[in-house]
Amino acid sequence: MIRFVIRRILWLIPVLLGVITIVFILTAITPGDPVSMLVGENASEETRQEVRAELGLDKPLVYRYGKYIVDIVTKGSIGVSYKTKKPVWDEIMLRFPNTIKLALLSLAVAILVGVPLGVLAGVKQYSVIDNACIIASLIFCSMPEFWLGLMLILAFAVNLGWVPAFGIRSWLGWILPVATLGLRAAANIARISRSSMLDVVRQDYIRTARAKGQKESVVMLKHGLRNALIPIITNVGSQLGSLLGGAVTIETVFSISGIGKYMLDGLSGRDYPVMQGGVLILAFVFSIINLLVDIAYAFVDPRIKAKYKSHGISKAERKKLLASFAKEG
Amino acid sequence: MGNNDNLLELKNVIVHYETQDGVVEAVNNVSFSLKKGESLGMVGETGAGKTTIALTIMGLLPKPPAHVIRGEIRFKGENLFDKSVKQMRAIRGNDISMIFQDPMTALNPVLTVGDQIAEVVRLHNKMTKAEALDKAKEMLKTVGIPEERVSDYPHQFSGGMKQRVVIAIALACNPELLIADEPTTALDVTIQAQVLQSIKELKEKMGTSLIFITHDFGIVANICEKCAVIYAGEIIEMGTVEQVFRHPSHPYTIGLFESIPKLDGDEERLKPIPGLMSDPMDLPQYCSFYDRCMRRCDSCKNGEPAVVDLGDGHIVKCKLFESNGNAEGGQE
Repeated sequence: MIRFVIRRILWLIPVLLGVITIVFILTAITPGDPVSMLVGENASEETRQEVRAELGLDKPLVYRYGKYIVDIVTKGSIGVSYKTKKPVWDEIMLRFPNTIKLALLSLAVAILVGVPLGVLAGVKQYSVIDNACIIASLIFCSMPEFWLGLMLILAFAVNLGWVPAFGIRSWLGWILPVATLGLRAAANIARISRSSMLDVVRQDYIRTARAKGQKESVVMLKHGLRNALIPIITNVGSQLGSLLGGAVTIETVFSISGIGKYMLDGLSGRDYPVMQGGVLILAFVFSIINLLVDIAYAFVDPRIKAKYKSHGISKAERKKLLASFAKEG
Repeated sequence: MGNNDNLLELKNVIVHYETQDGVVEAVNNVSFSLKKGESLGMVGETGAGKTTIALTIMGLLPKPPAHVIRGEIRFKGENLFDKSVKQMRAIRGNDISMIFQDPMTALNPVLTVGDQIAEVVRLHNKMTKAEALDKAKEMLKTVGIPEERVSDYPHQFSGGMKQRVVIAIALACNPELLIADEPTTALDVTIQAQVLQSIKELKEKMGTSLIFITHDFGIVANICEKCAVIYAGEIIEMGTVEQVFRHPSHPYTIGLFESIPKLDGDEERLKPIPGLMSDPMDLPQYCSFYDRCMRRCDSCKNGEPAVVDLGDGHIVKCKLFESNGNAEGGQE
């Protein structure tokens, strides 16, 4: 198990390297010039050249790519913002807690609403609850989140005035952004929970549990839900990923100073280090989430745990084993 | 028939599955009784309604689509159809338990086998978790699995061992009636023999009554005293194993015996029964075996055959015997 985790962490290196490469290529082919964004259209050619040299943009792409990676490895730096001249890492760390808080709160709402509703709908197929659940999740799944956010602002902030329309100065400000992101994710999780439960309740071991004289509620939770959990966990993991991504737009809609808004500003200002750093950090967080999801599998399903363990024969052990076979043969 | 010494008694049980395509007449007027310690083999083709009979007794019919139309099931004199859900739960797993057909899917993959055995023990006995696990170890030993494996998961067992775990679950509370639904069909032959031996020994040791569902006459001869032949949801012949095997009377039973390969005979080919079982959604008003019967006559189309006692409780449901036996007249 530990070996599995270590190997997965080592795998992060090529993954992140790939992410850096792709982002570098994308910045190279994106139209727009960071220098013009900084000094304006009317600046003289001289100033342009100066700024360009100062930012290191006069060097070829391959050189910048190499320097970026060397800086990460030797200085632990992911670049300095063109605009603010501050290290990107510091600026991201200033904003990241807001994004994480928004994503995790939304995820909590999504799990607390989505899983029970989905399980209930799956257990009571074709019932009123089931139909209501399907319709609601269809509605929430098909609404773009920025639109849903704006509608919620209109209804609860502008018309009813219960909560502020933007900003997070008090906990009241969190309600709408968390609801916007959470309800959409809840709809997704509910759908997966429902279909996963529908699958499981038809299994023979559910009948075995009933044949023992077990209570229906225990049959469903102890025997049903535990087995339905794998697809649900997978979905929760990918929801957390898309919540972090969704935070990018929602932070803008609700004017929350998070990593999403920071990256969006970086993009419109062609502030390459900000974009690169932001994508790199998000990719890192995504990978860690995936790893956590895979570890969670092992705790839910002993068969998967066994699979992680069975990978664990080392090369030396295998050599020894093969040698012993050769001797016998 | 005497009532008091019967552990289980089914009277005119009718079960239908009401589906969108029509009504499936799965169990039609089934009546039989089982004394304490007795074992009954139920033989019939796939889809004859054997499993539905078993699930009806267990109270585990999927409702909907299943509906009990009529009849009663008396267990220790009390009608199971009158029991509340809670009362049935107390009976299930404790007084009546069931072994299912496919051991590969009958166990919960995410719980240890010990937990799964202990679960049924704790449901019906006041025990701590540790005591129940001790009982689980004891049950594993009883079915021939080392007790150290109590904390292993189902995927770490072979098919035959899984089936023995299922048997351990079924027998953990010393049930008075055990229903085994083709417990060996999914296993290969050597393992079959071991599992059958376990069931036979445990049944004798604990004095459990047994309903053994199979399509293998050999198994019935091996472990049962009584034998019932099911066709299209009806018992068409029933008696002691001796009676049914020595003097198979219903043309279907005879056909079944003839379709078993014999090594000492001259025949080079098997003699299968021609045709397929009638569609249970569209059963005829007369004998449902009529279309495939080699000995049918015109009178067979005149209503359903009555139940005829050929003597000593050997019953058969066929027009051929109505004149020379004493008809009981199961139908109204």
